[in-house]
Amino acid sequence: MVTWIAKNAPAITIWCAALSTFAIYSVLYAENRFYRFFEHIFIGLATGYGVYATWAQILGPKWWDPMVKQGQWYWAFAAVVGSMFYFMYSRKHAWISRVIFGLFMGLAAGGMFREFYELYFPQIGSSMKPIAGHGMSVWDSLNVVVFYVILLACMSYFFFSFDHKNAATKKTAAAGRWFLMIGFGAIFGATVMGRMTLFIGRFNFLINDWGPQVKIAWATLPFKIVIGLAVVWLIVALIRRTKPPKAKIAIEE
Amino acid sequence: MNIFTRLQTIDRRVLYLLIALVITVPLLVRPGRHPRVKFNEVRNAYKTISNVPKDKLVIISITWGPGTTAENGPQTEVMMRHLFQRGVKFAVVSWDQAGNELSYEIGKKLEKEMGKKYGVDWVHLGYRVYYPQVVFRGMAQNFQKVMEYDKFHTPLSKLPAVSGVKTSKDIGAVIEITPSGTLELWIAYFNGPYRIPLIYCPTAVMAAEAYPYIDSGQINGMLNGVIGAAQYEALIGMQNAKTDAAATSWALSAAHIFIILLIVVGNLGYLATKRAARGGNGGGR
Amino acid sequence: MGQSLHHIWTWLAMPRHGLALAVFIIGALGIGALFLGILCSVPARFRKGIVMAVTFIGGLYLSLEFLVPYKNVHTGKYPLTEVMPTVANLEIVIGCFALLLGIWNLFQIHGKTLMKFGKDWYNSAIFFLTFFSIAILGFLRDKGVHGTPEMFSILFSGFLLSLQSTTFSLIAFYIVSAAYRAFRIRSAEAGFMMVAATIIMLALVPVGALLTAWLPETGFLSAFRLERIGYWILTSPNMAAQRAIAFGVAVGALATGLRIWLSLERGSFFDRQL
Repeated sequence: MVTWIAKNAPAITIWCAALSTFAIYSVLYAENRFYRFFEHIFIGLATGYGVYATWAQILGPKWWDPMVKQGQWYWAFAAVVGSMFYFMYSRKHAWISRVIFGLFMGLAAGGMFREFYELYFPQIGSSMKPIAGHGMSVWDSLNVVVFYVILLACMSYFFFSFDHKNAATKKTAAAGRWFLMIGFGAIFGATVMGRMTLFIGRFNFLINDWGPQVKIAWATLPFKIVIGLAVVWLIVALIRRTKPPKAKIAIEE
Repeated sequence: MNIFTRLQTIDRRVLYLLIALVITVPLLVRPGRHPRVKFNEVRNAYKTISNVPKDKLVIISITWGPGTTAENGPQTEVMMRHLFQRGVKFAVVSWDQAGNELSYEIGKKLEKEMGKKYGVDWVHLGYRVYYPQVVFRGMAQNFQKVMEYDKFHTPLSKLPAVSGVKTSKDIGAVIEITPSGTLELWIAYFNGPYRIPLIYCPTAVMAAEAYPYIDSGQINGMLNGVIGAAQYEALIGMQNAKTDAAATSWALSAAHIFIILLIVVGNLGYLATKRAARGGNGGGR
Repeated sequence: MGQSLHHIWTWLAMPRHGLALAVFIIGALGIGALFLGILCSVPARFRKGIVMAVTFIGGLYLSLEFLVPYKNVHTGKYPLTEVMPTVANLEIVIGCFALLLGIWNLFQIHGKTLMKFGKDWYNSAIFFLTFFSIAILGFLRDKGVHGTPEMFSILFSGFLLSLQSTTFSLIAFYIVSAAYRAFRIRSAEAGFMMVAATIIMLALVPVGALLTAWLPETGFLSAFRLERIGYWILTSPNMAAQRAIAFGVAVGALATGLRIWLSLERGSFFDRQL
């Protein structure tokens, strides 16, 4: 059995992947048990793989092996500190989990000064663009003017330190909203592309990886019988779904 | 009820079927022709990798998983291919559990195709947890101590590709391939302080927000989704290869035109319905 | 005094093997348990202070490392930066212990359903089956057991990869549906956004370049080629707008960071009675 699976693993993998793809896409027609079942397979595999990967790639070689194989016994303290996370399940001592969460949050928050400096200081510097000179064409100068107008208008839109009562600030902020729409339009256009790519990726698999496998399987009689039965089942299921439920008719009557 | 008003009531499942049909044709034909246009950031990414000294290591950072394979997979493949072509050694590190397997498979496939050797030309550092604030800084201070071993628990000192890498000075570039907001952390904790070139390969969703960093020079090059990968493929001499990225770029063309048509028809229907309602309410006002 | 402390430290840090190792590990766990026991008995009025102090110390390390880069004149090194690899390793290992937090909840929910043979019990059964299958096969694969790499691959590439990527790709269908039903140009701003989006959508893909291929590649008219207009939108107006957003975000991020570091943040996590 194991040898047979090992021998036919590539084909089995492709068939399983196609089945999984159809199971998830079936939700597009309507919510169904087939979809829910595969959703649980997904959750089980994702969490199971997570446990395996974390142990095999990190805790095993970075904690267990140094402690047990290399004799660095003091790593045992890491387990004690790590166990503090699980106090969140105790109603009485849940606060202990906050100590360790606090440490991690503090470490993440402590980087704020560096992040601010490294990320935004170069941006501020780069925003000081020359309008003319240095071999700039009229087009380049115009681009810089566009940049300044949009930057200042958009920043004024986000400036909430005083009310936008003055006509100049009000209009600048309104223009900023218009310019932000260009940015959001760009994000939206790119988002459509990104999401479509993921869908195309699945279809590419179905057409170019699963398609040839179907061609091979089609040559066998059992496959034709299975497909025939599946089609009949699908038609019956669709007919049953389109029939109005009896209980509902009774209420309406 | 005119045609546009009637179209408003169309079942969403019909639309789903139509989009599936629209993209099927380019995927069946699989045109090998790559995009003729190459954006500046893609050219700059190519230049950056072309200028990495051969005695330095390139880090390929994987933050993607199965969800975005269609976008990040081709990006990973084309970057690895270029590094193999140039003979620049690289280390792949995955911050995503499943991305660990996927990126290794891509590396293995290319290694076989291009006659390279694991451990000598490249290594895979496996999956690592993502605490960039200290891990990136620690890696820059003492690469061997923080990274220690590869995917198979082999100590880095036994892998020629990375045995000589001590600090950030031995790293020639970082390629960040990601579907999430990890760019800022690389800039803040690694590439910014140590002045190491950064190539950013985001999913298209993330790309528009990265342009300020390109303008300020904090990113040296960018591959915008799968289109960026297709453009890069053309730059490394794969103009006519029938790759997934090329096929996807044409399927995307069809999908985008279809979506634009849907927006137009949807809005015409909206206007028609609005006009009809106004006609009904206002009595020809 | 200093020298004897150093001797004790060196002696403690020495690697142990066999029975000595077991004794030391059990001893460390015992000390840890004692420490946790002490924490459990801390009166309620001191708890918030302890959490605040630990959060502050965590943040203080990285803040000082950046703001006051103290340099040792004898070694020419920065001690706070020097210990970064050790801190990184500690954070990696301790952070991994949080691994089972979410999984424990899943086990509780599905375990209860399975024990009672409740509604859709088979979903809970398949959850446990797949959870243990992939984890066990993963370890067996690493040990080189015959047939396990292929079986692992079936579970990983056949199911996990496919299920996750298909789930992600569902959004494409909702975008199609939304494009038809929801994207209504009700205002000038919406029109502005939609025009920008349409140009970007066309400019990014090869067909965009083909649509305006009849325009010359150089000269004034070349600026009207779709790919050029699209690229200009991305690199000029979009870039300026995104930078303005980034500046706003920067100030907010700095303020949030400070509030978390100094435990001034409000919300369910921070306000709860300890």
